[in-house]
Amino acid sequence: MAKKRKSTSTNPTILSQDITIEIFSRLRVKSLMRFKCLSKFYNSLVSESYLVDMHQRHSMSNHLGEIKFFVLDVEGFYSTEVKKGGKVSRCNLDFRYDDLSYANGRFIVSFDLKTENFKTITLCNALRYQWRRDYKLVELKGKLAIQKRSSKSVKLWILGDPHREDWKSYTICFPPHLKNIITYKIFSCCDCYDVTNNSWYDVTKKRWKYLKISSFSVTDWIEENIYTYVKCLFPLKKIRNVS
Amino acid sequence: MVKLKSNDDKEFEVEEAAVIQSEMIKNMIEDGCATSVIPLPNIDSKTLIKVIEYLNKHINMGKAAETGEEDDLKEFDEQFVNMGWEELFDVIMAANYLNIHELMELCCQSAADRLKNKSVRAVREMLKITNDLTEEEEQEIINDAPWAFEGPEIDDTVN
Repeated sequence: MAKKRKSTSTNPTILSQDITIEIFSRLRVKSLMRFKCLSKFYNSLVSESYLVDMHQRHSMSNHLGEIKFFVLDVEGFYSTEVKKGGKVSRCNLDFRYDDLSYANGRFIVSFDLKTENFKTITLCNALRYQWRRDYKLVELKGKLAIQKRSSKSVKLWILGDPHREDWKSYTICFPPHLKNIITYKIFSCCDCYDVTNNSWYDVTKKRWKYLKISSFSVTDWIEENIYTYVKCLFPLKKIRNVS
Repeated sequence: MVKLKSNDDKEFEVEEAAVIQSEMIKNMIEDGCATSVIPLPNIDSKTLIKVIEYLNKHINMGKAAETGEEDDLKEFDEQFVNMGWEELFDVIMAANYLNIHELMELCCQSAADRLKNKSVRAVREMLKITNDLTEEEEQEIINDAPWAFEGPEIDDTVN
């Protein structure tokens, strides 16, 4: 029989909660899932939305201002790093996708790498039976979203709670100077019409931002898109439990 | 020059350009509250020396990127965080208190790197955590994600 230990809700460590969050948000998912076992405090901390949010940001930008992108060319995906001084390095990834997502018009089929199970998420009414190739699945601040681009705006359907399958729709209009550019796709709200001049929409601050990449050494192998790079979708559990 | 005083009553002179990397001191200077010695009741002299070493080295961060001294700075940072676990915590707490963003980033990343492959038992010891989960609760967490507890990288040593 297991012994009942005294329970406490206070942080029992030598560090303050703020600093603990700062450090833990830099850990990978595997470590975080393991450290839920440290104590009651850590078990709840790892599930807290603030930590999840910070974890997202840190996995998207490596420490000290380095930004990672996925770049697609005809051969597959490459990972590219932009460092503070504008220097860009490139490394090849040993995998290849033809398409990131697929849906049959009623469901999104997801595959969980850890449990090796297929799950389905029902689409909202507005999207059902209308699935086309220009509808893209994206990850937005830890949430799953579908986006469709028109000449003047991007329409987003964001899946709030995977359990209840509640989709909310949003429309983001392009700033005036981008309205003429209609040939390129948008991924994760990152719009790339020229690989060295990028604009993307910041969903938190609700405004468009611009990024100029200087000294980009290779240009001929880039097809058309820049992807934001996320090491992991977090939390994994929420998606896994959808039936 | 700005004078800082540690909690063990030692005074240090730091160039204003270096010390304003601390948001907290920068605000004090802007508000005209830094005319005499600034007492830092949370920081001991040993930690303050480390922090000042960092501030002095990073004084010209912007210039370093242009003149190609960036690699030097990177090397300095790597050397800088090469310190004991307790010492690292002291610097993190000082950086948090003084609100020095880059130093906080650097040290928290180093702490995370040291923790990431550690076993649950090792982290409890390193962070002085008392386990208040019952065995059933603990088993439930393990059953939830058994893959997180397996792997050749998991390190049970404390250092």
